[in-house]
Amino acid sequence: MVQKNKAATLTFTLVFLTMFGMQPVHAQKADLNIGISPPLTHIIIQPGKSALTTVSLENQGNFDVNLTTNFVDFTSDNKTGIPVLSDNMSFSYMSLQDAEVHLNTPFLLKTGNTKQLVFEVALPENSVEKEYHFSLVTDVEPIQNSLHDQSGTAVSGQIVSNFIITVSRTAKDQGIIELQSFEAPLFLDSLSAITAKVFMHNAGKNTTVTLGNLRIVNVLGNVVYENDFLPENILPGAGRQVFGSESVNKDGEEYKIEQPIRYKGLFLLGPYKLILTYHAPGQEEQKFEHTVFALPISALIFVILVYIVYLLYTKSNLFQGRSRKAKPENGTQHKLDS
Amino acid sequence: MNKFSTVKKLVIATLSVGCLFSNYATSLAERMTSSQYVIEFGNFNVTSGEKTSANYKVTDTVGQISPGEYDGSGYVVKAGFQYIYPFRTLSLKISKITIDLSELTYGSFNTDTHTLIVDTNGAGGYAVKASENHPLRLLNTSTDIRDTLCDSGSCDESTAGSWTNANNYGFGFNLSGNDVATDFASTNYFRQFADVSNAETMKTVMSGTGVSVNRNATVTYKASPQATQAAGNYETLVTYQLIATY
Repeated sequence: MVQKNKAATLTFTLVFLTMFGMQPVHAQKADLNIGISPPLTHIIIQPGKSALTTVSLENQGNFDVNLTTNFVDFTSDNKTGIPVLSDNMSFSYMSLQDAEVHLNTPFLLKTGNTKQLVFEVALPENSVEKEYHFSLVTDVEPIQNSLHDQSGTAVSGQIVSNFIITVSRTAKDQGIIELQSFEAPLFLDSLSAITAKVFMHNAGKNTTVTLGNLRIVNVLGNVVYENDFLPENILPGAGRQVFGSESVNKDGEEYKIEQPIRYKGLFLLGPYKLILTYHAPGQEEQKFEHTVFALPISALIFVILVYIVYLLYTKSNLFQGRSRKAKPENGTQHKLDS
Repeated sequence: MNKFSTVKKLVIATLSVGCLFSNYATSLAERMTSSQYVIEFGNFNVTSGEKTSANYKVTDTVGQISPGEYDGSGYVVKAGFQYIYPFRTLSLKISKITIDLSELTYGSFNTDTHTLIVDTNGAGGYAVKASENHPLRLLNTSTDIRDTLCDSGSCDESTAGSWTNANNYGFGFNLSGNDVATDFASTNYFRQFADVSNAETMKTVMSGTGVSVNRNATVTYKASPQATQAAGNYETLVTYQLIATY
């Protein structure tokens, strides 16, 4: 009987493991997890030529999804580099090279799978030199998440990859970087940090990057701070805040990350010259200077406060001393009177 | 009895191993096809290096291309952030895709939460924007639970406001965690979702610069009905959009 029970238990356990344990576990908790690569593609192409590029979509979630892709133009917000998407697509020479997947039509991507989309850019010979900016917007609809199947608030996702297409006969970078605005104080306290916000504008014909750096020189002529700009893209006719950079090694790869422009010394004093040099890759170096005066404002306030406290203290002592002197006289008088 | 049991165990074990192999047979190497292209690769890092077929060759260049140079083909394809970091996968994870606010009662709040996780893996900055198809709506009707106006009537889809009084009925959301918009000053600060049916555009709820790995924010959905709210199931569709900087 015991043997029979053991066999039954073993059978149940193995059947259970076979049926459920070996299968991929589908969604006790439904995670939507979608990846896209690359996040940005920049194609520089001559009129009359064609080029191919790919975008990969990866379903890392624990259920199948329907994906729908479409292109829309984007513009700059003149500040952050986050695209502002429109509803239209003005570039008509880009096509999806796939017999099974079409733009604006849902297609299935099973959990754990990746779909590579191949796009062709084919320009006619008479194309004019111009730049196009658009985004591939992919709607992600969880298959178990049909709005009509259930009550409650359903959640879906969109993931966006950006494209810049530069139509150019020469591939020459015709970007022209201009200083749009420079925000830094004229005076600051000796104990605070020198900070600056730099906005650049691209007056050229194509997307380019800001190269250059910012140096801070003290009254003795010593460079106390120097940092290269992080070379981020600026669209033609648009602006963007630029930042300093820092090299970081992650997973054995060297890359740069954004750093705010900020210098904090122990005690700043006197004039500090902020020297900005900047240019696009095909442009002569430009220069801008701004002087910040560091004054020991908090130190002076501290000294004044200490002096006031000292004065109050000494006056108080003086008053108490006079009071002590006066009291015995009154007491004597009282005694005499009594 | 013992002999029978041993045979039974062997049969079960054989069947189990068979099932095990039959399951593994479905997870073979990636092979993507269409009628025009076949692209094979040994891993998912498909956009690094070179992709070829009989018909084309795509090279993702990594590193700076000298200005004014074509490589003879008449085009240059730069994938990712050439000057900063080789391209990586941008990914958005949403921990739960159905929000259940349960049975709503006038004068009290109901809430539900989930998390948003963003990885840009070394790409530039990013933004997560959010919208709703329409306010919470009674199925197949035009009866809505309005979007919250918060306690002082000041919050909207762009600016959060304090919302602690459940008599101020409505539907809204709060974000807390990494890179969340600064107007979510505390967990009592709520916003409306941008209402697409009312021509409102998606609004940024999270954003970051530089390397963003495992940036994690909790979204709290909150609703309270008005006293005369019609009974039934109220629904909407909330969409989160992850967009990288260019």
